[in-house]
Parts: sequence; C-alpha cells; structure tokens
Amino acid sequence: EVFVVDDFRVDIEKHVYRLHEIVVDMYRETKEPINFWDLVFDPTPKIVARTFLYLLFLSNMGKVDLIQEEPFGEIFVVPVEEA
Amino acid sequence: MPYIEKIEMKGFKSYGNRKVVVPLSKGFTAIVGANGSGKSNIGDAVLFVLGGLSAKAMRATRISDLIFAGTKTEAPAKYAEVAMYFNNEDRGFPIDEDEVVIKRRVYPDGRSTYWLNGKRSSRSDILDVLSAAMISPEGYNLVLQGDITKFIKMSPTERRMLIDEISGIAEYDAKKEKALKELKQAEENLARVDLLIREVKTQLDKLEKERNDALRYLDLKDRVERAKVTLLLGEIRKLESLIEESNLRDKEIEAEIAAMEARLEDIAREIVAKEKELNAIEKELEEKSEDGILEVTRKISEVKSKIEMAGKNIELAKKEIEDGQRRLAKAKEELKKVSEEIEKSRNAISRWSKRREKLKAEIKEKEVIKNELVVKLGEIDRDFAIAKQDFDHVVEELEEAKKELYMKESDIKKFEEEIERAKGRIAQSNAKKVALKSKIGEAKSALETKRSELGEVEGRMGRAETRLKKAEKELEEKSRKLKKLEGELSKAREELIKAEAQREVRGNRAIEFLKAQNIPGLYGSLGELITVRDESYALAVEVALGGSYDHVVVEDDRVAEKAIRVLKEKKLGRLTFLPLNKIKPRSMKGEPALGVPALDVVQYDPRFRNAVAYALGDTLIVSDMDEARTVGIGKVRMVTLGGELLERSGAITGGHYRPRGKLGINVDEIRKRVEKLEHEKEALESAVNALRVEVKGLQNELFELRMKRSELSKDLQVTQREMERLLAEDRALEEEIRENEALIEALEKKIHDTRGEMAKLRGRIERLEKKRAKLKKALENPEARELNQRIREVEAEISKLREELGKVESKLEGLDVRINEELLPRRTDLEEEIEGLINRINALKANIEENERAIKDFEAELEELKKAEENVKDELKELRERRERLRNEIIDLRAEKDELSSKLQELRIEANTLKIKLAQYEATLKEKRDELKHHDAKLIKSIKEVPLELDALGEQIEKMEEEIRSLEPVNMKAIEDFEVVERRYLELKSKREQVVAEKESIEEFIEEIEGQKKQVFLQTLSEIAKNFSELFAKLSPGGSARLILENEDDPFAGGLEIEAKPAGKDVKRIEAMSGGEKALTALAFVFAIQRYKPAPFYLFDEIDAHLDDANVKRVADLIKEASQNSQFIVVTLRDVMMANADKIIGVSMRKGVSRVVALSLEKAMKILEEARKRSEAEHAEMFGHLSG
Repeated sequence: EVFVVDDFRVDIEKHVYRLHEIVVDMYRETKEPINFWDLVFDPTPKIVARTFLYLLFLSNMGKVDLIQEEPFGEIFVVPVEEA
Repeated sequence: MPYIEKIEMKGFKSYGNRKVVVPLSKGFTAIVGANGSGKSNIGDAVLFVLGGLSAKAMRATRISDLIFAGTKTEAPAKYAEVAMYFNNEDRGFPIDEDEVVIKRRVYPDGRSTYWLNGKRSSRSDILDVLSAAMISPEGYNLVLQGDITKFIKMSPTERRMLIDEISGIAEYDAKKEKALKELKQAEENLARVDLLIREVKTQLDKLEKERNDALRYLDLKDRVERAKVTLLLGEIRKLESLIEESNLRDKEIEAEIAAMEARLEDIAREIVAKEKELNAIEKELEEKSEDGILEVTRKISEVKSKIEMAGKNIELAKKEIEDGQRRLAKAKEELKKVSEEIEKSRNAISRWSKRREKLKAEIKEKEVIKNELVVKLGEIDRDFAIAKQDFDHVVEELEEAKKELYMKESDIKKFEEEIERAKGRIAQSNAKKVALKSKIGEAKSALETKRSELGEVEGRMGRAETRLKKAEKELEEKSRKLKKLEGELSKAREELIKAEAQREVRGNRAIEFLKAQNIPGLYGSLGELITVRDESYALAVEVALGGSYDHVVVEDDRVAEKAIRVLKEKKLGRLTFLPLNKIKPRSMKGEPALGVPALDVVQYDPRFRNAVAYALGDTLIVSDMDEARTVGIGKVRMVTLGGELLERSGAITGGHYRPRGKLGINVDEIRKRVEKLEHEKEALESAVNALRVEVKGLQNELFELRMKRSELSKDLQVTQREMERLLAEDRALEEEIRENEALIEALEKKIHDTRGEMAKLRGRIERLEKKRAKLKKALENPEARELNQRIREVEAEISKLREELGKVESKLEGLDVRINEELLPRRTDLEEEIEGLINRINALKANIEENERAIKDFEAELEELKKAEENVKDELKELRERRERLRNEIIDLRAEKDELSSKLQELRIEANTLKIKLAQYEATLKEKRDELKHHDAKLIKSIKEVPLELDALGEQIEKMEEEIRSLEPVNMKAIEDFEVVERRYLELKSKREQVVAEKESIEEFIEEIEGQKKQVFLQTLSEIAKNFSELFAKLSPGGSARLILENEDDPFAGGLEIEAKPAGKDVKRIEAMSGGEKALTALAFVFAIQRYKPAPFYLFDEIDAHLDDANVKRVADLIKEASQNSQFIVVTLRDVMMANADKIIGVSMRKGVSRVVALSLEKAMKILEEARKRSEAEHAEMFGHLSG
C-alpha cells in the first residue's frame, strides 16, 4: 500500500492527464457534459475522493469545467475546448 | 451546540465579485483543491467574519488586501464581505433565533462593518455574542496552515492559561476581584480608625501622665511634710543621744588619757633600765669577743701548728730513718765485702808467706851452693872475687831497685783505687745535692707563697681595720645626729599637735577648707602669715590684728572671687579677703615719740606687706595705759602690751584676753617640717643600721683574718725550719765533696811523685843492669866461666827466686798494706758508720716517739682549747641573744611609746573636737526644737516611729522635693479630662476590632475562592491530561505522553509542560521531535480538550501535511469520531483524509477566480453503488490497472 501511495503521489500528474483523456474521449463520444459519477470507476470513498481531487486539478489547470447547479447537487464535467 | 450552516463570500480574496456560498453541515467536512486554488481562503474567511484583526493571520499584508483585486476579465471588488450562518436551534448563542448570521464587510480604506442577523453591529458586540457560544477568532479550535505546532511552540504558561480558559475559572477571578475591592475598602477603614486611635492615644497618654503627676504631686506633698517632721524628731533624738554619747566619750577619753600618760611614764622608765642593761651587755660582749675568743683561737692555731710541726718532724725523721737504713744496709754490705776481702787478703798473706819461706829456704840453699861455688871461684881468682863482689853488690842493688819499683807500682794502684772511691763518694754527694736542691727550691717557693699570703692577709687586715675605724667613727657621728634629730622631731611633733589642736579649737573651718582646695594665689589667713620676733609683743599684735586675724590674703580680686564662689557653693560662711593688688595699706600720721609701731615688731613675707600694713600699719604698741595716755588716746590706734586696745575713735577695749595662740603658726608648715624630720630620721636610722651591719661584718672579717694570719705564721715557721735543715745538709754535703776532692788531689800528687820515683828507679835499674853486664864480662874466665856459669846459673836461680821472693814480699807487703792501711781502717770506718747510723736511727725513733707524744699532748690541749673556744662562743652567743632581745624589747617599748603618744595626741584632738561638736549639737538641738514648733501638732503626735536612718530619710525628702519641683506646674484638671478621653479611646478600640473582623472575613472569602479555583482547574486539567494520554496512545500506538504541571502546589504560578514519548523512542524534548510527531502531539492535545469540552466547530488547515498515510488515517478516524460532537472543517490534500469526510468541498480556480464544488460523500456512495452495477465492466476496463 505504501508503494501505491508513493506511486500515486509521484505520478499524480500522469493520473490527472489520464483522467483528462478519459473526460475528453467521453465528451467526444457523447458531446454531452459528463456526470461525475460516471468517472468514478470504484465506489470506495478513497477513489471517489481521489477522482474528485483530479477533476479539481484539471479544472484549476483550465482543462475542464465543473458545473454544479446547487450545493451537493449533480456535478458535470465538460472539457474545455483548447484553442 | 451551534454549527456553521454556510459561509457566503463576496469580493473576498480570490472569490471574485459574485457571491460564493460554501455549504457546510454538521460532522466532518473536507475542503480540497489544488495548491493555490483558494482552499485556505475559506479558512481566512472564517477568521475574517469572526472579527479577526490580524491581516497576517489571514495571510495578507493589510486587512484591505482581503478585497478581491480583480483579474483580466473581472473588475476588482468594491469591498470584501463574508457572512457566516450559524445554526442556533439549541440556542448556543444567547439570541432567540434558530439562525444567527454574522456578516463583516471591509472597505479598501480598511474600515470594517459588522451585521448581526442583518442588523448593523459593532465588533465588540459580535465578539460578545461569539464568546457566549465559546467562539473566538483566536480560539484553539482554529488551526491555520502550518499552525498545528502552535500548541507545541506556545510557552508552558500560555498552555496553562489555555486550560484556565477552558476550565472557566475566570468567574472565580471576577469574584476575587470584587472581594479584593471590598478588602481594600476594609483596609482603608482600618487605617482611618487607626489614625484616630493614634491621635486619641497621644492625647490620652499625655493626660494620663499629667493625671499621674497630679496624683503623685498630692501624695508627695503629704509625704514630704510627714517625712520632714519625722526627720526633725529623728534629728532631735539623735542629737540628744549624740550629746549624751559625747559626754560619755569625753569622760572616757579623759580616763584613757590619764591611763596612757601613766603608761608612758612606765615605759620611759623601762626603756632607761633596758638601755642600761644593754650597754652592760654590749660592753661585756665587746670584751669577750675581743680578748677571750681571740686568745683562744690564737692558742688553738699555735697548738695546731705545733702539732703540724711535730707531724712534719716525724715525717722528716721517718724519711731520715729510711735514708739511714738504706745507708746502713749499704755500709753493712760494704763491711761484709771488706771483711771478706780482709779474709781473702789474710789467706793470701799466709799463702804468700809460706811461699816466701819456701823461697827463702830455696834461696838459702842456692846461696849455700853458690857460696861453695864462689869459694871455689874465689879460689880460682881473687880478682874475680872482687869483681864478683861488685857484681853481687850490683845485683843486690838492682834487686833492691826493682823491688822498690814494684812497691811503687802497687802504691800507685792503691792510690788510684782510693781516688776512684773518693770520686764515687763525690758523685753520691752530688746526686744527694741535686735532690736537696729541688727540695730547697720547693721549700723556698712554699716559703715565698706563705709570705705573700701572709702579706696579703696583713694588708687586708690593715684595710679592714681602717675601714672599721672609719665606720665606727661614722656610726658614732650618725648616732649622735640621730639622737639630736629625734629630740627635734619629738619637739616638732608636740608643736604640730599643739598647733593642730589650736587650729581645731580656734581655727576657721572656712579657711581650712579653702586652703585644702589648693586655689592658686590663696596664701592663708593673715594671722598665719605673720610672726612676732619678740614674744612680749605677741599679745599686743594679736589684739591689734583683731578681726583681721582671719582675713585671707590672696593674690588678686579674681582669686578672692573664686574663693567666695566656693564658700557660697559649700555654704561655709563668710570671709574677708585681702587681695594684694587692691588692698590699701594704712599708715600712721607721723611717727609718735613713744611706743613701737606694730608693723616694726612683726615679720612677714615682703609680698604681703600691703596686707599686713592694712591690718597693723596705723597701730602703735605701747607698754601700758600710762604710756598710751602720754602718747594721747585718740591720736593714734594703740595697743598695750597687756592687750588693751585704744581705737582712734577713743574707744577702749580691754579685759581678760585669751590668746588665740602663736602668731604665724602654719600647721601645714609644721607638718611639713615634721614630715621632713621624719624622713631625715628614717634616712639616718637606715644609715646607722647599715653602718652597724658594716661594723659587725668588718669585725667578723678581722677575726677571720687574724686566725688566718696566725695559721700562716705557724706554717711559715715550720717551712723555714725545714729550709734551714735542708741548707745545713747541703752544706755538709758540700764539705764532704770538698774533702774528697782534696783527697783525690793529694792522691794524684802522690801518684805523680811515685811515678817520678819509679822513673828514677827504672833509670837506676838500667844503669845497674849495664854495670852488671860489664861486670859479668869481667868475670868471664873459662873455669871461672864455668864456675861463673854455675854461679850465674845458681845466681840466676837465686835471683829468679829472689825476684819471685821480692814479688811475693811486695805482694805480701801490698796485701799487708791493703789490710792494715786500707781494709782495716775502712772496716773500722764502716763499723763506726754502722754504729753511728744505728744510733741515729734509734735517736730518730726516739724523736718520733717524742713527737708523737707531743702531738698527743697538743691534741689534748687543742681539745681543751676548742672546748674553751666553744664555751666562749656560747657565752658570746648568749650575750648576743640577750643583746638582741633587749634591743627588740627596747624597740617594742619605743614603738609602744610612739603608739601611745600618737594615740594620746589623737585622744586629745578627739576630746577637743568632741567639745566643739557638743556645742554645735546643743545649738542645733535648739534650732530643731524651734523648727518643730512650726509644724502641725497633730501630725507630730501621729508619728510614733522614727527611723534610725536619718540620712536616708533626708535623702528621701530631698528626692521627694526634687520630684515635686520636677512635677511643677501640675495640671489638676487632668484627673477629670483623662476619664473623658479614655472613654473615647475605648470606643474607638472596639470599632477597630469590628473593622478587623470584617477584613478577616473578606480575606477568608478570597482564600476560599482561590481554593475553589484551584480545585476546578485541577479537575479540568486531570480530565484533559487523561484524555491527552489516551489520545496520544491512540495516535502513536505504543507511545505515551503526559501533561505535567510545572508547579504542583500552585498551578497558577507555573506553566504546563508536555512530555511525549513516541512509540519505540525515549522521552523526547518536544523541540527535538519531527514535524509529524509534533503534529500528532498537538492534535492529541487539541482532541483532549475537545473531548473534555468540545468547541462548536473546528477548522483545521493542512494539519496532515507531514504525516504518513497511516497516521493520516488515524487522525482522520479521530476526527470522524469527534465530529459526532463538533463540526469539523478540514482543509486537506490527502485522499485518506478526504475519504473519511462526510462532505467534500472542492475548490478550483478558473481565470483567477476561485469556485466551489460541494460533494456529499454519503450521497455519492449510494449513487455510485447503483452506477457501478450499471457500468462495472466498462470502468473495470478503464481503470483496472489502478485498482488494488
């Protein structure tokens, strides 16, 4: 587990870009905002939290937009069209 | 407990111009987001709205920096605003609303405005409301980024104060404050009362003293009066008894004086008798010691020297006997030898005589033969016969000569032997002489020594005699002087006694006292300073002096003033002083023809002339009234020799006049004289004693010297006699030597002569032999020759025989001579000598016996003499003892006499004094009796007992009077005033006690509060400490930690220490712990407090930065557990933490503006569960490699 954590920490960028690719791919298929839950592959609190965090990173990087209508409401992810 | 429902931000930091809502709920909320996305700004917003003032705490330079600064696309905000919505359903806030909204807005100028539930409010009101809900912008529940270690970094005291705050002991502090105020009031009251008491006390003390003084004054007055009367009574009684005693004593003294005088007479008589006896003894003693003892000792020494002489004689005789015996032995030996020799010689003679006879017979035989032959020859030749005759004759002659020569030779030998003997005698004598010489030398030197000793002794004797003579002379002189001095002294003493008695009787005590003060320039009374040459004028001068007698002569007016001051001080009466620098002499107007001016008959120190002239200058002494009248009464002041005084005024004073005593008598001078005389006497006495001792010493010395001299002269005599004897012997020896030498000379001469004769004889023998040879030739004839030959042969035989005969005869003769002339006389000599020696020895023995007898006699005599000497000495000793006894007796008697005399004088003085005192007593008694009359009779009657210690009483009175004086002035009113003030004082005292009681009760109350405060604190701390230990053990499994008070006894005086021991490590100092360990310790501390007293909400910003996942998990679990009681808002980046949260707030920044996305993890889990079922496969394909 320790190894994994380290791996997670070291490769955080890799994981974030991977998530971005997934988001971009999913958006290209559906052309619709992606439900956050669709991005969570394992329904453990840890994976949920991690996925949420990566999305926040992507949003911060300007790669995705996170859309939430009301607090604790559904979260939609839309990749940002790069110019 | 209230919790935050939501936070609304507008224009706050990175959150842009639009209103951003951060939804929060009860439980555990995580805030996540990338670095720099604005997560921590949410925490800042919380601080801001809670009224935080520190921009720095909110990570800004100024408070206005909190306003959104704008981006490329968005304009800056006009203000920053944060509103916080609290759920107040349980009324945690003291506001009756279900929701409490606090809003704060800050403008670019830094001004802040606050709203509470929509209403404008002030910061302090907001803070009050918040603190009521236990919320504060500085609270421990707010842990900002990197701030988790603040619990570690804070000082122990700060840490302790945190516990103070949590335990809520501020309430006690407030109570204490109030109580302290009350205490201060009470103390002020007390001080005021004390001040009053002090003032009243001062007044009271003063009054008390005055009251006591007043009471004491009254009491003293009474007592003094009583004491005075008592004293008077006592004094009267004492005086009466004193008078009685004095009278008695006076009588006693008179009796004593009479007895003493009688005794004195007796003693004088006794002394005279004893001295007479003493003189007799001394005379006897002198005689005895001079003649008796000296004679005896001289005889003793004579006898002793005689004994010694006899002894010496004996010794000498013994020595001589020894000598004689030696000589005797020698002589006897020699005699023996000589006798033997005689014997031998006689034997030889007899032998030789036989031989001679034989030879003579042979010769006769041969001659017969020869004669026959000669006859035959004669027949042959006549001529021949003649020749033969000649020849025979020659031969005969020759033989004769030869014989003679032999004789001579033996003579010479004899002489030489004799010379040898004489020489031997001389040598013997010389040896004796040498021995004698040394003896003589010894004797001489002994003689010399004795002579010089004798000379010395005689010299010493001479010196001692002169000294003795001198000492005796001096002694006589001094004794004479002493006797004279004693006379003078006794006279002076008498004079002194008289003068003292006079002074005692008539003297002025004041003057005596002044003189005793030794005031410089005070000379004494005029009377003392004047003397009268002619006794007949004495009375006149004394009368003329009158009152001036006692006037005191002083150097100047200053001295007088000084003396007057002394008199005044001592209350000694009055005196007139005559200051020499001021006093004016009086004089007579013109010299009267008759009478003598008084000034001319007195003698005085010229210095005092003016003073004397002042007293006597105008006074004339006349022989009687007739002469006075002749001079003219009233013309001049006159005094008659009989003592009548005629004043110039004409007043005449006369009658019997008792003279005051001799003028010019100064007791002190007399005393000085007496003292001087006593000193002289003492000196003389000691000199006399010293001389006596010296004389005695000298006499003894002389005696010893005489003894020595007689001994020495005896010795000298003996030695001289011995010397004479030795010299005589020496002379005898000399004589002997001389005789022997003469003998030797004579013998030598004889030898010389004999030798000459022998030479002559030899010449003759030669001539005869030649003649014989010639004759022999003539006789040669053949027949004749034959005959001759025969004859010659016979003759040769004959001559040979004859020669032998000659030899024998000479030998015989020599022997005969030796026997007759030498040996026999020698034997006779020796026999004589022996006889002489024996006689001498016998004589000497007789002498020795005689001497021994003499010695025995002498010793007997000596014994007797010694006895005699002993007797004389005993006698002398007895005499001396008697003398000593007598002297002591006389000394004792004298001492007694002196003592008696002095006692007598004392008694006389005492008698005089007594009389004076008696008069004084009587006068005083009268005075006292008069004085008594002035006192209250009742009081007098009331006094029954009079104490004996009047002096003590007087002192008491004086003391009391002094005290009375010291008490004045007396405030009589003080007696009443004191009572009034005392009442006031007592009132104040009781009031003070009340105030003190009050103060004490307040102090007790404070103490109680303190105790309660401490109890509460300790209870809180113990709970928290327990929690802390438990929580730390949970966070760091295997580790342990404690909270420790720095000061157990007084917790508030010290801080609170944390002691932590992470698993597997020793106890670490907190500073040395790693970041993670620090964070864990701090969190344990925070949770320990939270568990004891939870805060409404907790805001933790990245407390997990330094923790590994395992620890983060533990912390997260703890937060989860704690979140049941409090709201937790945790900013984190850690998925483990996030995973434990109930809700997650995501923050991201888009184009410089932070946005918020909220995710409910509980809700998500439900949704996800469904979605998973839906598209499990798809997801598994996508993330499969990540799972695990």
